[in-house]
Amino acid sequence: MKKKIVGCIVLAAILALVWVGTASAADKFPSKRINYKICFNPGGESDITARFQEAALKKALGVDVNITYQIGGGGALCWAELTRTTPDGYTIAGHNLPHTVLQPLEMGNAGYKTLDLKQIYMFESTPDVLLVRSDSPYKTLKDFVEAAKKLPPGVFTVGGSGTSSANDLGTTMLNKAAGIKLTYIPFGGTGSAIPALLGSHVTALMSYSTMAVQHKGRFRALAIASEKRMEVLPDIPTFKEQGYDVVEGAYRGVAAPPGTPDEIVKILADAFDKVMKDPEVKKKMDLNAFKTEFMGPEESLALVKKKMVEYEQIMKELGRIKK
Amino acid sequence: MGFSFEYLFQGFAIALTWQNLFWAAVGCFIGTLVGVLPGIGPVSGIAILLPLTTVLPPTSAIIMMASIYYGAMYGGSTTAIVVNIPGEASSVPTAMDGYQLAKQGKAGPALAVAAIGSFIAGTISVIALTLFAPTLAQFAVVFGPPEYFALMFMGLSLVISLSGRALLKGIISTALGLTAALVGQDPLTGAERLTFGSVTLTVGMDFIAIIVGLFAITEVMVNVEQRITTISEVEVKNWMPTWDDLKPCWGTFLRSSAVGFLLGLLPGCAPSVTSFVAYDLEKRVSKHPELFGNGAMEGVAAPETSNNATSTAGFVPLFSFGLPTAPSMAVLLGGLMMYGLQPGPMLFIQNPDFVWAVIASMYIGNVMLLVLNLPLIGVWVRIVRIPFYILGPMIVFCALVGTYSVRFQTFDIWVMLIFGVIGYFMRKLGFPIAPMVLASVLAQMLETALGQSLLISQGSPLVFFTRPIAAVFMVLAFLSIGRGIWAQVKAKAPEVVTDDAEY
Amino acid sequence: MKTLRAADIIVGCGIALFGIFIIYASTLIRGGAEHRLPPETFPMVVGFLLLICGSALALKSWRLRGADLAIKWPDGEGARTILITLASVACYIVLLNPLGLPLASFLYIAFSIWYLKRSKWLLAIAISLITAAISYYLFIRLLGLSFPAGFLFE
Repeated sequence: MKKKIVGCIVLAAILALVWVGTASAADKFPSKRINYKICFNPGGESDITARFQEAALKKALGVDVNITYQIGGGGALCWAELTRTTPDGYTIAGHNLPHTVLQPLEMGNAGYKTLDLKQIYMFESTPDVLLVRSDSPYKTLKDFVEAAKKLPPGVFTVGGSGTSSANDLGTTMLNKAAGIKLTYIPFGGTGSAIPALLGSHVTALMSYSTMAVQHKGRFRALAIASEKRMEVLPDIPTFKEQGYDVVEGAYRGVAAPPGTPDEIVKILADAFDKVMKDPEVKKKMDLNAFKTEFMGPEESLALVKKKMVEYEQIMKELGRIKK
Repeated sequence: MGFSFEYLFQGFAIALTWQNLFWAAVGCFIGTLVGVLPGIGPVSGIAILLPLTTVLPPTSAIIMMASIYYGAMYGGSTTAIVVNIPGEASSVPTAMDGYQLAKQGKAGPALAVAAIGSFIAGTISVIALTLFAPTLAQFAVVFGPPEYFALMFMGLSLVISLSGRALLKGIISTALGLTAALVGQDPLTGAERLTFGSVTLTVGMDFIAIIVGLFAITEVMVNVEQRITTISEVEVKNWMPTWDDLKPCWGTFLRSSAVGFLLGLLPGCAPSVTSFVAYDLEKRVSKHPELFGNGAMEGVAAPETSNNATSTAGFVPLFSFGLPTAPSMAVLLGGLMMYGLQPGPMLFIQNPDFVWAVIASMYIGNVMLLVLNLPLIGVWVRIVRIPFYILGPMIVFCALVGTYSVRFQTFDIWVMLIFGVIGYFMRKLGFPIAPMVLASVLAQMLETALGQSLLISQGSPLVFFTRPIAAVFMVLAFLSIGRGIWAQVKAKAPEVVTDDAEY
Repeated sequence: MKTLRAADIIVGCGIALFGIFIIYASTLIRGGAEHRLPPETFPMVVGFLLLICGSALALKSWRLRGADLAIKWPDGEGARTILITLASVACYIVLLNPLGLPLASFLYIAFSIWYLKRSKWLLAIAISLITAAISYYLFIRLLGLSFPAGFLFE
């Protein structure tokens, strides 16, 4: 008798599995959760932007968006892995210029090539900002540079997010323009660089405009690396107006693995476009000193290509890669 | 700054409605389920329930998310004790002693001690947070790269010294763990290491795969070899811990809470590190250190208490500087942000009611877990009596699913299997497993901190000794190693971990 | 190797050789010119550590006289069980992608339970079916995790 009962259960289970198996229809993209990878520590600009976008993104795509982290190599680890992920549109990663251009140029093998990353959308940019603590003796950029010149080269340390990143490059550019040698200390992301300055473990940070807003009381911004002063940060003078030609910052967007079908990329790009034009999102971005951009796949690719040429030139001039 | 009991009570008032209590219960239940499987952690659990939260009022949603987080921490200890699968790295010490206790038929008391310890840690941490947060925040940033390196180096040396007379084997174990962690890309520069041009190896080995392999798979192999019928033959009496069980643990609860909380304040100090440090501390102050690794109740109390304290302490950098210290914190923060809250130090000043509701709900999650899970212990404990010919394959299934769910790569489950075999040989040949585990978890942070420190000091290794806090940790580390070497020189017998313990 | 002393000598030598291999592999590493801590340093240190400790272990065990411990290797049947268990897990992993999680789990669990206890084949099938169903419904459908569903469900 017992065997009969077990036998019936088994039969029922088999039937259930078969029924369910045949019931699933062909699915339209997106039909399940999308994985949005962030390549830096939580708390940094990429993370903050993703959090701003999250709700609107869900509305635009109709599915959940799952934010995950993969930290290391200044983002290289995460982007390298993206190139090895199935190109079905369900995994995308936040990506940064100039990092994705500089890393393959500078590192022997970054694990990926710049053009491997399929551009979906470029949604913001943030210029570099040189920050010191509010109680620091350096009130202006001039003070800072003069102090650095008096000391042996390399004693001043400047923390930033990642190697071969906008922060890294910004520091090198300042070195060249001012004739000083600041030692750049790479951190896993802005999120881990901030405590370093809070605890005075580094002399200064070459970070982004967002942090100047978020830590207004604690940090003093000596200069911003944009062409003109930012509206939301009117008190920060640019490097240019103080005599140093340093214009650098990070562009951020999302990318997909190589080989992702164009139709899928378009769906994602349209979704991000809607998100960035959402008034709620725009308000938050502006408040936090992000400059919103609205570049679709073709425009983003064009920007990347343009930057590749530009940066190769800059890097040779700065001596970071061989001519 | 706004820290006061007044705000805390207000938060409790919001959190203690029937509605919110219900959602807290749901969160705890789901969190425990989710935490039971290695790999699928609170991040996934919260992510899954995010759609539900949009239809809930904000406070209820946040309460549920916080409960999931707590539930997951607890779920990890359940499988660690009952079937030797640590749910996450911080449950590894729990597995070391908890599973031995399960084999002795004391799974129930072990689970109870874990729950009680978690509760006590949560209580103490919330009070500390309320009263002392501004001072604590200052402490949090005192640690720079040299201090982090020194702390982790000390953590590693403590674990090596846990190998007792088998110091050489302990160091070899550590070195092997470091090797496994090194495969892949360098954290500072992204350069490929030990990959031999293989694209698969460039990804590196995930430490969950290593841990699950070393614990779950090895255990299955050992049990299968011995053809055991069930994990524990002992009749399970009841789940209440006896007074004898609890007596040595009171001190543990207090010490581990302190250790877990203080270290948890440091951004980036993972619960895995603090649980090993707490475990080691307990072993040193214990009156019967030889029991550790063989079923010491404190060996379960210490890691579970400290990892709860660490998670709560993570709120201090979050609220003081707007810095989430771990991905799970960031997810919680993301939840808050969906309701229009600005991340950053302004959070506290502009929205104290939300913030305190979150803190209050963390605490409620704590209480709820204790209340819900204590009776459930009876259920969990039955698992130990399931015949192994069923339980064994199920363990493998859970191990595979959990490991695969971290990165969805087949390579990871192969790593799990290979380390299962390695673990088997390590057990047979007397190599300690704990140092290998901790080494693979710490390697990346250790190297990053070292690299940053050397850049700051312009290449001088003296930086670790000229800064007071770092110096303290380094001295402790060298003392540990020195003691280990001294014990070695005195011993004459061949190297074994202890006579017949499996570790 | 019957005794621990013999095993330690062999293992010690093996570890030392592995250390040499790691040192060699470290020399292949390129990159990170500017940094104080080049990427090849850590692996090289670990390699040396393995070399030194491995040799020390082998040497110490070789010179040891006195108490020795036997290693509890499994007997014939135990060894056979372990090997078949490992082989079945390996098959499970290999079949995971083509067959999908539910089907592969079903096969693995059914086989394992049957292998470990010959008499209870019906129970084996029942449990494995339920597990397969849970893995489909809970993980793939409800939680939406990217487990391979296999040709049956895609």
